[in-house]
Formats: sequence, C-alpha cells, structure tokens
Amino acid sequence: MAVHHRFAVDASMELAEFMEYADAKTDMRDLDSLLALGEQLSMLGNNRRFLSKFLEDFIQANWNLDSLTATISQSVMLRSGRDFYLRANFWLPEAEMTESEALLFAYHQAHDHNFDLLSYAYSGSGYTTDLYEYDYSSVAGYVGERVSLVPRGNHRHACADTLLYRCNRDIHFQRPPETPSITLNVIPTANQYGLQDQYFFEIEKGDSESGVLSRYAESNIESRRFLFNVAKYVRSERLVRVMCDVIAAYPCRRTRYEALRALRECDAGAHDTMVHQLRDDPSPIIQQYVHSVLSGVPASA
Amino acid sequence: MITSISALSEHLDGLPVHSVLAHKDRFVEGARSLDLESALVGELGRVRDDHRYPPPMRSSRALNISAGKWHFVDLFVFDDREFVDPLTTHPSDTVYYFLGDGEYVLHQLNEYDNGIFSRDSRAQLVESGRVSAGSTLAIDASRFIASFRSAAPLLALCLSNRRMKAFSWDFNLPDGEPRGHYNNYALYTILEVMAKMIGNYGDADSVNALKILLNHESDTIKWQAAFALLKISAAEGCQAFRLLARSGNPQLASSSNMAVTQIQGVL
Repeated sequence: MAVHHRFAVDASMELAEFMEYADAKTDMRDLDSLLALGEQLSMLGNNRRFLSKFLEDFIQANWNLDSLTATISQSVMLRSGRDFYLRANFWLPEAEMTESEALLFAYHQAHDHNFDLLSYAYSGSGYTTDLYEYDYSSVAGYVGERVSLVPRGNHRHACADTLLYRCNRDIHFQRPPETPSITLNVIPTANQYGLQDQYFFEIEKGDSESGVLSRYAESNIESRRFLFNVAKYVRSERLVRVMCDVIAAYPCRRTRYEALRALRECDAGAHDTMVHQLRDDPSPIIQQYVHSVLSGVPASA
Repeated sequence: MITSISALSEHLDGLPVHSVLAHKDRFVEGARSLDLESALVGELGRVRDDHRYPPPMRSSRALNISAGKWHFVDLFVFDDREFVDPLTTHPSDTVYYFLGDGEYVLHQLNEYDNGIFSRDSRAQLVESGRVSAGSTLAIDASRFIASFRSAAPLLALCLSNRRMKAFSWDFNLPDGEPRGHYNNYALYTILEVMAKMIGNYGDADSVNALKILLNHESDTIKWQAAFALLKISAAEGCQAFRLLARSGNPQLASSSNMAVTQIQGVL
C-alpha cells in the first residue's frame, strides 16, 4: 500500500542542500531509495522559512506576467533536479475555495498517478484520504471498465508525515483539509513521457473492492487524442498512413487505441483493415475494441 | 503578399499594432495559403516518431499552428450540432477564417466589464447566419460572443491575441444571464492561492510581497492579498482595504469599506 512514515529528525536543511543531496544520493527509479529521501525531505520541512521566502520571491518575480505555462494552479515547482522535481502543493478547505480554485482540486475523485510521488506534509491540518491498490497491468484502460481494487484504509496526511504513492498502483480519494495545507512533493520524471495513463475512478459506497474507470487525467496521451480528433476530419492518404503507423507500433497502448478510434471516422476502409490485422494484438484495450467492432457490440466510450 | 502561416506570423510580429482585428486582411491572405494536410501530417509524424513530443493542443479542439510574439494561429474544430449552453466569452479578440460550412449566432454583451462581475450583465442575441468556406468573422471579445453549430464538423483557422482578458464569463444561453466567471490565467489563480497560504503561514517578512499584489489587474487577487495582510497584521490589512475602498469596481470598493469599518471597530 502507499507507504506512510514519520522520520524523527530535528535537523533542518536549505532547499539547495536538499536538491544537491537528492541528485547525488537518490536513485529515483528505486522506490526504497525514494522513500529513504523522506528523511532529507523532513529536514527541508523543518526549515520553516524557506517556503514563505520562495512564495514571496515568486510573487515579486511573476505578479505582472501575462501567463506562466509551466505551472498548474494547485502547485508550484520549487526546483528541478537531474531526474526529478520538487513542488509545493496547496490544499484549500472546501469553504475557502473560489469558483476558479474549485476547478483545480481533485477532491472527492478517486485517482491514481502515472508517476511515483513522495509527499511531505509541510503545514496545515492535512487532507484525509481513502487508499486503495490496483493492478495496472490487469486493466485494459477504457472508460466504463470495472477495475478490481484492494481497500487499504484511510489516512490523514498530517503535518510532518511522509507518504509515498506508487505509480499506477496506489489510488487515493482525498477530502479537503480543515485548514489551508501545504505538501512538498518529490516527483521522479522517469514515467513522465505520456506512455502510461492516469485514471479517475467511480467507487460506489458499500463496494470498496471495485471501481469503474470514469475518465482520464490530462496528459500527453490526451493531447494526442485531441490531435487525432482534429486530424480525423481531414481525409488524405498520407494522413491515414501515419495514423496506421501509430496504431501498429506506438509504445503507448491507449494512444494506439485512440488513433484506431479516430481512423474509423477518417477512413472506414483503412480502419476495418487495421481491425482485422489487430485481432491477436496483445494489448487488452485494443483487443476489447477489436472484439466490439467485429462482434457488432458497441465499444465503450 | 503573405504566402504561408509562418510568413504571416513573422509579418505580424514585426507590426507595431498588436491587435488581431487590425490585421484581418493579412490573416486571410495567410490563411488561404495554409496546406492543412501537410500541417496535420507533420504533427502526426512528430508524435509517431518521438513519444516525448507533446502535440501543441491549446484545448481539446484547437491545434496551435503558429505561436507569434503577441498572437496565436490555431486550427479549431467545431463539431457541435447545437449551440452550446453556457455561452462563454472569448479569452481575447479573435478572427475566424472558415474552412467549411456552418451556422453562427452572435450575442452582444451588455452592462459588461470583464474585470467587474455583475448580475446585471447580459448576453443578448443580435445576429445569426451562415458561414461558408473562405468566409471570415472578426470578434471583439469585449463586446460579443460568437458560437457555432454544424451538421458536419466545421474547421476554422483562428487568429487570436496572446494577451487574454483576466476572466472568462459564462452566460445562460436561453436568457443571457451571467452564470459565473473564472480566471483565464493559471498564474492568477496560483497568486490567489499563494496569498491565502502566506496569510496563514507568513509573517512580517511577507508583507512586501502581498502589498505588490494590491496593484494587480485582477480584483480577486487584490482582495485575497488584502485579506492575507489582515491575517498577518491588522494595521497592514486596514491600510490595504482603505486602498481598495478607492477602487473603480463598486463591489470591491463597497466590500473594502465594510472591511475597514469592521477592522476599525476591533482595533
């Protein structure tokens, strides 16, 4: 399950020291090594001034800019390392959210992450979260799919706690904190190239051992889907050839699936040929789609 | 003569007037030269060949074709069979060059100021008609909302300003009443959230940063900054709300006046 731990450390660390340590000592592809970094993250957390200073500097440097493409609004990147980055995430209580802010938070929505994430609770009461596990490799990955879950209880991410969420394995359902809260997140970049999905799930009350894949999170995969959905309205042989290349050999299973679905509207003949070629494809999401087309049973969304 | 989209962008970047509405004719020249198939095959090819390449989608239905210093050229797909409810204001002035046929409606914004939300604002239907391949529509985002529907997906090239209005507003389609508004810039939202966080966990050293935000163009950011200052120091908060009480936004002025009165009652 997601690992939570409290490192009993009194020492404090500067941001630059933390980055230097993480770059030198942590293997970001190894979960044990990442979890061990929680000790230094806790030392950074003991530094009660660095974050305010960062936010003050950020405001002074950015307040008059038109836009900032490298940020999402619930978090701000503090520093980028060799193969990870460190960000501060903000968690507002329900009553304190404006209309704009309410759009940002994934409260009350069970979801996984398509990256490992080491989180340290820096301030505030902390959000509470229900925890589940699932097996990404056993999931085809289409919307509407029922997914087996293993409930792992709930947890309050209280101040000075460290939590490790594992990529495409841990699912959490977060509830807003009672007071504004901040977490520090270490995120390895190894899985961040849009080859694996991040899912949202509907989990019904009374059935914590299964959920329904309800939607996809924003990602490069979704950007590719959007591109296919624009491209499919321009019918040309060259375009169909590239789409078929993607369907046949792209290293992301859902990207292939989305290209195949788009091809249907772009060139029905080429689509049908691909469907027949893919009858023995090892990817479950492709199999599910091919089966639905060949059997005449409508595919899920 | 503009003979490509990249030449158009280069040309627009060199002009002193940064308004898409002023350069509609140049845009049409460039739009006519677009080799749409090659542009899309090029993007798909880049995706196929490099899984780290993020396609430049600006939304679920807008592919960026060119990003100039002060403008964007995007390929849009409108595939709604009916006009969408709610009506949403355009983030910036926009010129459309249509590559197919469809229908449009034009709503005029009355009693509307992007930065000052008001329940009295209305989106009033003033025009409807058809668009066809090669036709254009220029929208002043401060005054109008254009929306589209078509039986078959409608493609359009759009020229828009990089600089956006602070807020997007939603209006109900049937009666034109405002439904709400939200930040166009992620930066504005994070500044609001940061102000709240500093208000809770900052100290006297944070005051200067918060004071800067009292000069921001967004009134919601100003309000959050004043509130954060109040949490750190009643005197600084009172001074901040006194400043905001002189705002041209009557809602902000009146709320700030009330805040000043309440703070003075406590001090």
